[in-house]
Amino acid sequence: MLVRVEALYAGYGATPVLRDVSLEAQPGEAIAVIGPNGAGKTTLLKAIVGMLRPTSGTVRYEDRYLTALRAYQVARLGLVYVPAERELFPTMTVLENLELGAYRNVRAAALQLGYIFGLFPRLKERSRQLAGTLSGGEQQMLAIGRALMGGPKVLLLDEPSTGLAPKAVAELYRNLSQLKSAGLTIIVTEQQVRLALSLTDRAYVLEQGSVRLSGRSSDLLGDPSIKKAYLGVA
Amino acid sequence: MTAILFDGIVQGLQLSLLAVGITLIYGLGGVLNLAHGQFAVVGGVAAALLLQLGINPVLASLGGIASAGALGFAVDRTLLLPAYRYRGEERLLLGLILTLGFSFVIDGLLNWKFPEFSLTFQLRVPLVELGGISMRTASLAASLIALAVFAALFAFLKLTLLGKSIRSIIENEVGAELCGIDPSRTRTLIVCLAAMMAGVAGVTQGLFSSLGAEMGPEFTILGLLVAVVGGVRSINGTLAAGILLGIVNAFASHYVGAYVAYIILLSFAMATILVRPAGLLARFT
Amino acid sequence: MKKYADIGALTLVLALVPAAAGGSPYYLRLATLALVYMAWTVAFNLIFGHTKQLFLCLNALAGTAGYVAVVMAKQLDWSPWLTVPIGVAAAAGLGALFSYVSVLRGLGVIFVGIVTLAFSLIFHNLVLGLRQLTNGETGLVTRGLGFPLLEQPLPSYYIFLAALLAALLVYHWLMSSKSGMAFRALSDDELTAELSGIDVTRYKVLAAAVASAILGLTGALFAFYNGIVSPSVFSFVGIDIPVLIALLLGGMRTRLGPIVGAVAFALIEELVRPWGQLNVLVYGVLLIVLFTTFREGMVPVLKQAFQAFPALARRLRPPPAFGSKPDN
Repeated sequence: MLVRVEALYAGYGATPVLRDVSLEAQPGEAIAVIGPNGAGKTTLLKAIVGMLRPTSGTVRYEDRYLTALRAYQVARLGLVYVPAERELFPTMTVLENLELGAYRNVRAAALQLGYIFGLFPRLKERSRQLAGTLSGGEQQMLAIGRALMGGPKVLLLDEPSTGLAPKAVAELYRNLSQLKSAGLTIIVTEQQVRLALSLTDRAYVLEQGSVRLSGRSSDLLGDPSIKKAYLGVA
Repeated sequence: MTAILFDGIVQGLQLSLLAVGITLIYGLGGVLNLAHGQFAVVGGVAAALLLQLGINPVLASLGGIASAGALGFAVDRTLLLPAYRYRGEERLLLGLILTLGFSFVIDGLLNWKFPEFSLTFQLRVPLVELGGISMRTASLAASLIALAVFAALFAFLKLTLLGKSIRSIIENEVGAELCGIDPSRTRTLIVCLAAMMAGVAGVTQGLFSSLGAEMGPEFTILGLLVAVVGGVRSINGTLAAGILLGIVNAFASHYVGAYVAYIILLSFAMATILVRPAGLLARFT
Repeated sequence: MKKYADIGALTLVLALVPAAAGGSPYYLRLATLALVYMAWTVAFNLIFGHTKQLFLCLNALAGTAGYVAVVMAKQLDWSPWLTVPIGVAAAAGLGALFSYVSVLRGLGVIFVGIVTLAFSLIFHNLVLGLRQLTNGETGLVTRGLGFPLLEQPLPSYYIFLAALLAALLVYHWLMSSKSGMAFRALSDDELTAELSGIDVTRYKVLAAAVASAILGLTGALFAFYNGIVSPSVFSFVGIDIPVLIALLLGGMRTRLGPIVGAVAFALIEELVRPWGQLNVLVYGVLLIVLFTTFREGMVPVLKQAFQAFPALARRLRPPPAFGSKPDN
């Protein structure tokens, strides 16, 4: 498998967040991590990409251990993270933001740019605009576009639908499906459970730092406890 | 009147060279380098030593600048290591004290080994006429050199990928790491560049005035003041602030005396911190 | 009563020092200077150690009191008994002002440092610029201004000892009162302290005002004792740096750390004296080494040695370490 998390414990300072979390993703799979606020979804992603050092457990990518690597090293290996805060460069142009995304793989940059502009034509229109002046949806597109510029093998997205209008969310997930069929492995956390489950292959339900349930997304959609807890009103 | 203005601009550009270095190291390294002025002095001292060996002035100056860069490299890779292990305010504090200590070490060493040191360059053509105004060639040369360095810096930051990566780290270090950019490697590069720019300032000081071995702390303070007024995270602001403060200083020194002029500059800096910490002339926070 | 035991013991020991100095004026002056720096370090402990306010203007605060007291005595012919308190008030006012404005504007440690450093330089240049009042670089003679006790070495020593005692008592009272708890909470995590209802502004300003008063009192007295007051008497390198080193040596946020540190520093100064100009180099090395290794100071290290004497060890116990865990 491509990505494997085993028995991960992680937290911030003295506060433990993740308890014995295990997860795996095959190449070309789309995995959802769902759960309530504070369950540790963001912590999990951060631990995978090296923004947080786990207290114990391992993260494996292909045949390497990622647990001791710094975030930029993980990015260079092909696991790219799009945080909820996006972390763009607001005073730099859309084009410059994208260029920097290709930092680890400059040769492929020109090709990738064409692909990304094809995927997000709005970004092409605004290529000379400063990133800080884009709308929420456009910034999200830019963040993903920047992540894709390096030609990653695994894309990790933290609640990409936050703050987006429903139309933009639909467009976003359409694009993600396209990328999935092109071979990209996607791990996405979401609060919008129905959306996440309908567009992914498998899912993990994270509650209070542990995996309560996991399985095929279509199965989970029909699971009565999931329906009650997460799909009741949504 | 224009003579004072011109003097102010020349001095101001020099201060900007120092201040930009401080801004870069602060923005990228998260360290307030209180030893920055010493890079300038070391550059000048190295150039003077090379001159004494009979090397031609231009090469000696380049050698001096390179020495300053080497010192910057050494400082980043050794002295500041303990500071880099921390983040945010603690790194700032630790870096401040470490560089302060280092400044004293260099000061002590230089004043002990070169107590009567003075670097001055003599030019064959002392005065030059430009647009009806006669000015010292040395001052003109110093300004042109400073402007050239700035032009090169801006081109580097705006046009090259490496330069953009530097801007990106200053803007958002997390975002840069997510792009696969290694902040510490880039940081070493920036410290070297900043130190070399300080070296240029030191050498040009010998050009239009004279450089003494004890000028380190003074350079640091002036550079710091300009960096603060321009905004410790804004390069454009720092350049503008240097020229502004240089002109203010020139006029104030002429009309009210050196002490009051210094107090005015200091007040500018204090006012900036208290009213608009991002910098009086910074375009973005 | 037990709480005052260590201060009492210390005062007793210090009171006997002149006898040990055997009447040598040189050593007596050294000891007196040490007392001055001890008081200044106690003050800095309050400002920087306990409330994380990096005031790089100790020289300006002490010097303001000194110059105000001396200049008023000279120009207005007022008795030092009047001008010294005025000087102290000026210093305390300035310190409180800087603290208040800094908290108001939410300035981080570094910016407080820069602002106070700028103030220190403004002070220096003001003194030089107001030559009619201060006689600029040459300075003013402070003899015969109505403070005869400070013109004799032995009484001077005891006056400064009294000042130091006062400083230590004030420190003790502050730390054992509500303020002390506030300081501890503050230095741990300011945001949490604020959120738990502690008026951070009030305690920071209080610490700054009290510390500045101590700096001012000792500074003003020192101006008269020294016989001459000039910019170099109250210089940054001569005051701020030694006090910083002394506090680092002795241990931040400890009761007697400042004392130990100041003594240690005085010894180092003496050792380095024959090297002349190179003393600055030693300061630099000390700063670097101290801040990277003994972040908590010597006193905690000594504490381990004193573990066999639990009562004494309790007295010297340092609170939580400054600085969080390094990441990566």
